[in-house]
Amino acid sequence: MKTILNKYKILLLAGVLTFTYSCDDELDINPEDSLTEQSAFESEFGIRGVTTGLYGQAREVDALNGNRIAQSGIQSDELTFVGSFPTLADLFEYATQPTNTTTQELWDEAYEIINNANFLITKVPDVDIVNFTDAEKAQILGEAKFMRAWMYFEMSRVYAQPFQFDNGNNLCVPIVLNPFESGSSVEDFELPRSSLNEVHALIMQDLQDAIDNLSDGGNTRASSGAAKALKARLHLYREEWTQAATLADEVISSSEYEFEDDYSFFSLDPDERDSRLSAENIFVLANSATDGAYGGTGLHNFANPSPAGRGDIYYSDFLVTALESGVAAPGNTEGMDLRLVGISAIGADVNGVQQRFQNKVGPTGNDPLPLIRITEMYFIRAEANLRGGLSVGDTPLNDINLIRGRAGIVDLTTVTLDDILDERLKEFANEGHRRMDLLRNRRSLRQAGDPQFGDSAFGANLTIYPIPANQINANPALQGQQNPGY
Amino acid sequence: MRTKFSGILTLFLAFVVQFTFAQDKTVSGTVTDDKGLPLPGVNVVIQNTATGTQTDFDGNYTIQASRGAALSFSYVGFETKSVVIGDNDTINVQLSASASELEEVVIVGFGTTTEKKLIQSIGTIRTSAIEDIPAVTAQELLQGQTSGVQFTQSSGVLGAANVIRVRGVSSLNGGSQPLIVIDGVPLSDDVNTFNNGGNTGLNPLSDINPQDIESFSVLKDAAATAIWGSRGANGVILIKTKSGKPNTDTKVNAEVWTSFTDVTDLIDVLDAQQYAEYRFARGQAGASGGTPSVDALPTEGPDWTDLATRTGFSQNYNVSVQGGGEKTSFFLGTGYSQLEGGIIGNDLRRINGRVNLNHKANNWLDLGLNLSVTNTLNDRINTENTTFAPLTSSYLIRPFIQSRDEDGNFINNDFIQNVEAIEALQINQVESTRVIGNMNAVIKFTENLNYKASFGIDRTQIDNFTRVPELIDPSADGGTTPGGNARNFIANDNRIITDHTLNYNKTFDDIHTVSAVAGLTYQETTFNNIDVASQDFLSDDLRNVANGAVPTITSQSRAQRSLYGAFARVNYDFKSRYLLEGSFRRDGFSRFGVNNRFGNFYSVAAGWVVSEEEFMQQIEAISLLKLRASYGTSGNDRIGGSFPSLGLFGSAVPGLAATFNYNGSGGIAPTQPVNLDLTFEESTTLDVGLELGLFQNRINLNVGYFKKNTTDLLLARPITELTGFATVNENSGELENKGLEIGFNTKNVITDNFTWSTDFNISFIDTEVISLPGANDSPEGLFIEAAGARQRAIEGQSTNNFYLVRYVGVNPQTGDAEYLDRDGNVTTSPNFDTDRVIAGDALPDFFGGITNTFTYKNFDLSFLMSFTYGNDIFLDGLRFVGAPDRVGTFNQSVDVLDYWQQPGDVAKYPRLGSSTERLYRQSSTFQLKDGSFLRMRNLTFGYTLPESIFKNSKLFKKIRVYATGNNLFIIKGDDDLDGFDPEVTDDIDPLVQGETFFTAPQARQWLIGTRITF
Repeated sequence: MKTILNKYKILLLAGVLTFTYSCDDELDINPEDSLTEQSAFESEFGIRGVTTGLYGQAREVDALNGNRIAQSGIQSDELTFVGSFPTLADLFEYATQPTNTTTQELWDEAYEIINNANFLITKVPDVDIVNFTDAEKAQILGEAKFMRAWMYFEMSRVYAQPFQFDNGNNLCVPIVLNPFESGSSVEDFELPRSSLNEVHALIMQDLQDAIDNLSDGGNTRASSGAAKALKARLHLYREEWTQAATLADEVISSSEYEFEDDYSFFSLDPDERDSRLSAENIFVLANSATDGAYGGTGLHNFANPSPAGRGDIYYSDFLVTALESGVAAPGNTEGMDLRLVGISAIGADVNGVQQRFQNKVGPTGNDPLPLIRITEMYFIRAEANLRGGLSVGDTPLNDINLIRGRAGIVDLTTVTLDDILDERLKEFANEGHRRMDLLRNRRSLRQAGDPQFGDSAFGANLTIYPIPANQINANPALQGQQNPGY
Repeated sequence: MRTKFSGILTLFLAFVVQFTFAQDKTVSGTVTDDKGLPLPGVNVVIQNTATGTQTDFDGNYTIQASRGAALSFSYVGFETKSVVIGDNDTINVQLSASASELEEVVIVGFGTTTEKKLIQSIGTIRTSAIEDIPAVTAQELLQGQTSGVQFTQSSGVLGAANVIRVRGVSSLNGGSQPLIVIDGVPLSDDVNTFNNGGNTGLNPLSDINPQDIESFSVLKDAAATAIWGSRGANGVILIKTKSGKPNTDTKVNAEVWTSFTDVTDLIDVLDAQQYAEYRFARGQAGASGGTPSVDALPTEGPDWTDLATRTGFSQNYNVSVQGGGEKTSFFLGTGYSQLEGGIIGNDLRRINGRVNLNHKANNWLDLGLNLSVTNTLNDRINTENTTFAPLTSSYLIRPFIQSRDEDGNFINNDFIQNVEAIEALQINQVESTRVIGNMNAVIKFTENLNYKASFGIDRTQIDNFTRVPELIDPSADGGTTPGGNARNFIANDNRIITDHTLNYNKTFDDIHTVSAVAGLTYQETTFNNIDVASQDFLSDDLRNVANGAVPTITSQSRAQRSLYGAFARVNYDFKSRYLLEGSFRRDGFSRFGVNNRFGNFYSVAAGWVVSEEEFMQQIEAISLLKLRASYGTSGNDRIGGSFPSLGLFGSAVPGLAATFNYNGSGGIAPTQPVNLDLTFEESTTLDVGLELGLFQNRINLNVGYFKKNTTDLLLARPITELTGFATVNENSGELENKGLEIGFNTKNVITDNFTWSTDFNISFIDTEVISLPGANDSPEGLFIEAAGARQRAIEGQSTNNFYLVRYVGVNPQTGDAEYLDRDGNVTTSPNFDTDRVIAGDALPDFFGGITNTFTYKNFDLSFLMSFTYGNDIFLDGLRFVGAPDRVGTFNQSVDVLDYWQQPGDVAKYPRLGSSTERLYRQSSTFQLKDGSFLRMRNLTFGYTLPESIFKNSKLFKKIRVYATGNNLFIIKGDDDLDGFDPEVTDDIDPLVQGETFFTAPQARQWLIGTRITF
């Protein structure tokens, strides 16, 4: 038997063993349906994909795609909630718990987008890719900073008391400027809350970088005009009237945008999608059926009448009364405020009761959603001029009457802050402005006599969201930093 | 063929010759055992005749026989011996203890050993225990057969997955099913089908024909599993298929059975009349869902439960041929099963074939092949918890809703779907074709050393197709654009594996035996999926995706994994008395993070066969006494997906049918946080055992104790969202399983005509979470909560605590439902978050099985019962059919009629209109039940035709006819469990056990069959 143990067999065996050992390399397998944090930044297209992904992320219903509108609306005198979702019911009834999942969603989505933006902001300046020019890099950095600014801005509205509460010295949210990547330690991300002023300063800086880096024009992605518009809004929130009026005026006079004659930019006809991308919009989230409906239960479900929607959220009596009290201007054949026609409609709520619902967002969730419209710049210019005693661009009266004119109601002869806020309520119904318009003017979120009127007073604890309980659990630096009252 | 014919002829001639020239003489003698003691009751039979006798009390016998005939001496527990009668009139025989007991081969990882020398903890289930169980899936054969193995059939739906736990749950976020290896091929068991309600998927073993199986080895301790390295921690089940033996006649086995199946345990829901009356009663009481009069609702409607169930008729055919010549032996098997489930629309057809070949090429080369091909066509149904699942919908649909209009056409006008129409009109099927094969060559270098190379494949193509008709998915705009949708998902799961081993075996000086095996293995798995779907079909007659006007999914994706291992094992024994074993494995797996890609595993084991010692030879009663102990490690590689450690940027949004694409441009975003340290979970097991055989092994006891610590537990650790992620997967937790396993078998009665034997096994397993670093805190300790928020793994407690508000009952005075708050105070308005406490445990205290086998002459009767004790189950469905104020939306169980009406009433449900009625929608201990049960799993009564019938027939060797009942009855530990089967789980996630929405109960099956051997 020994004879068969010849050198050939030994060679064969050695060969097989060598083959198997060489399989070691086979353990390095890369995914084929995702890029890794390395490979995503190795090509210009990869980097552009990450940049586009920022807007894709923003399409999440709990990021910028609507739920923040529903939530701020039901906290204020703008919208009424009759649905069964307990987390929304708690918000509506000023009974929100720190474990409320609805108030947590924005926190999660915002930091996800910020993380993605931080990847771009820290990596793109150093990448060395042929034909990827500095100008192109600057554009991408501008977009990333714009989206990062937006998400911090969005969080600063709900997790912190407004600037007026303590001149911005109150706590806002933690500022994170680095991506979570290989080599990162979770501990480095366990950061405490920064003050509202610090967060605002970061937003201002990011927006200024965006203004400097981005080109003008286009409204489905970040642009210099959109950055100016958002910055104008933040200056308004901070009562920095000169900057607010100047920036708003710059946007108005930039010729990139157009104050439309009617509300066709809210058309829900799928064949008229282009009109929803009209130049009325400074920045619009370009939802489409092709990119997929983003999330099942969002504003588009809640705020559309049954059966197409859930019929959970409709215009408050206060808002309906405000709209109905408008006196039709001569030539208005409808005989009422045109914002009662087309962009809002009567429909059945979840209990089958007829109510007035918004009609700006269709039930499919596939309609482009305006985030900033040129109309807001007129409002900002008017309010800043009025309150700052300025005269930038045009008079407050002209600006407000321009907006009233489109709504088919009679011109005002004089304009007060109340007139401006009242007009903003009607114009921006279901667009997510009302709550901050009240808070930054030190007003209650609800009208006297409404349920929870006391809880909704300026500076009251539950007018802002809790810091999510599990975020405090997971981050020692946040312990002891919960908002009062939670 | 010619050879065979002449063989038969020779036999025939021999028979004739013998008949003609037989010369009787008297033969006598004494039969003794291997220690020289007389054996009473030994059967002494003249071979090939029915003539025989038995030895008397002193082991003596006398028989009339002819010279040249052969006497066969047989006795239970001893090897049968035959002696040809020569000139001598006295024939004394010494029988040795049977190989079937102690010398029987046990399959271990990359080798074999014998029962006597086995010092690993392995449960072996052999043909003898399973050949008479007419099973459809291989896993059924494991039920109740061996200690330490808990088997839960997830539902009565055909093809549904089963939950197998070897020695408890050793993972929380990872997979916890054992590795299954067939003839050396580790099976791929990723779920490659749509989820059809519930999270159980399909059974990975449904492609194996149980009739092909020769034995199962369930590897339990580290000594057995360390050589499987990173895949061994959940236990390993080795399956060996049948093979032919060299130089044996060709034997043909044909088996046919047919069966009827019905559904056990259905919930009794309100019929249309009761429903209308109940809602009227609610109206009278001013309660929600009330009606002003009984005839406000139709009082007639279909019996939906009846429409959703049926008596299924099934058939099964199997033919196998085995045998062998001098050089080649073979086993060929083929099977055809056509099964109907007890629920409408649930059918399964399986066709399979197997070839097992062994060829001895020359004195140094052996070749082998095992190859099976299976085609399974499963007509699926939605399992549960969707309005498309037959049983779920039949319970929930309000009973006045009609299935058909006056003309007999289906209608579908409720938000709960018309399941009768779905099953009649909708297509929902999975066709899978699976090839599992293994080729090997053994080269013998010397008598003691050989080399084995093998190449294996496990390739599955799974084709899922659904087509939803217009009636179920109607036009969205009232008839302008059509509805209907179709989806086709094709998954290719392709695994190749190659092993190379060197085996060494030598005995020195007759007392030292050394054996060793060392090897290398490489395995590569590729998944390639194609998924397409579309909607808006002009007609239901247009079946395929291409005909939908709007494409909704066009996806193709692929992932690869590879695993590489090097392993070795060394055994040493001294006179078969002192046994030592050590094994080692090093595994590298592409799935593990690059910083921890390789893992080392080892085990050491020792055994002492006390009964081999000189001083034990005097003790007659003890035929075997063995002590064994082992210690070692193994891993669990099931930490999810192909690339769980990488920081990924992807286009698909996790958890949503959406992308990060924007306005027509491709977009990607971070979808997974990086953790390059992520690796396997590691289990360290200490195992000690005792094996005792008494009275020639008529009584056998096998007791084992184990303690298994699993560290580096995969945890989805909650981290601050400032990272952009809610959790990161880490190896940080620890848990412990410890337990006692007892196997006990006895041959109670052995007489000529009657035998009775009993096999009993029971396992006590205690699972405790040791630490969950970084998990959320609660008054009970750090915890992880399962999906559904009913179960928690809690530090210092079980992995599967039910964490619920305690339900007290209906107060006989007030008629309100009462609960306990966290502090134990009675309340009618509990907080369903903060008043929760630990209220139960989904894991049993003990479980096991008992088999009794009786034979009387040619009759045999056996029954297998399995039992589980001390676990709780959660009936989620009760939150729908047992929630009175939901009656307007969902039908209710008849139990709701037992409502409180006046002070003093002891009722199940509160006063109509009580504010506490709505609390029944919430999870509480109201829905928590005792899940203990004793089930008559299998009862078989058989009759084997007497051999005398075949005396003149060379066609048949054996004919057996039998009748079997499966799941004949169940004894439930909870009185209040009508309509639910306690053996349930609607999820294979280890964190969610023992929960059911409306899982289809186990099917009861009546079966008759026959097996013919020729």
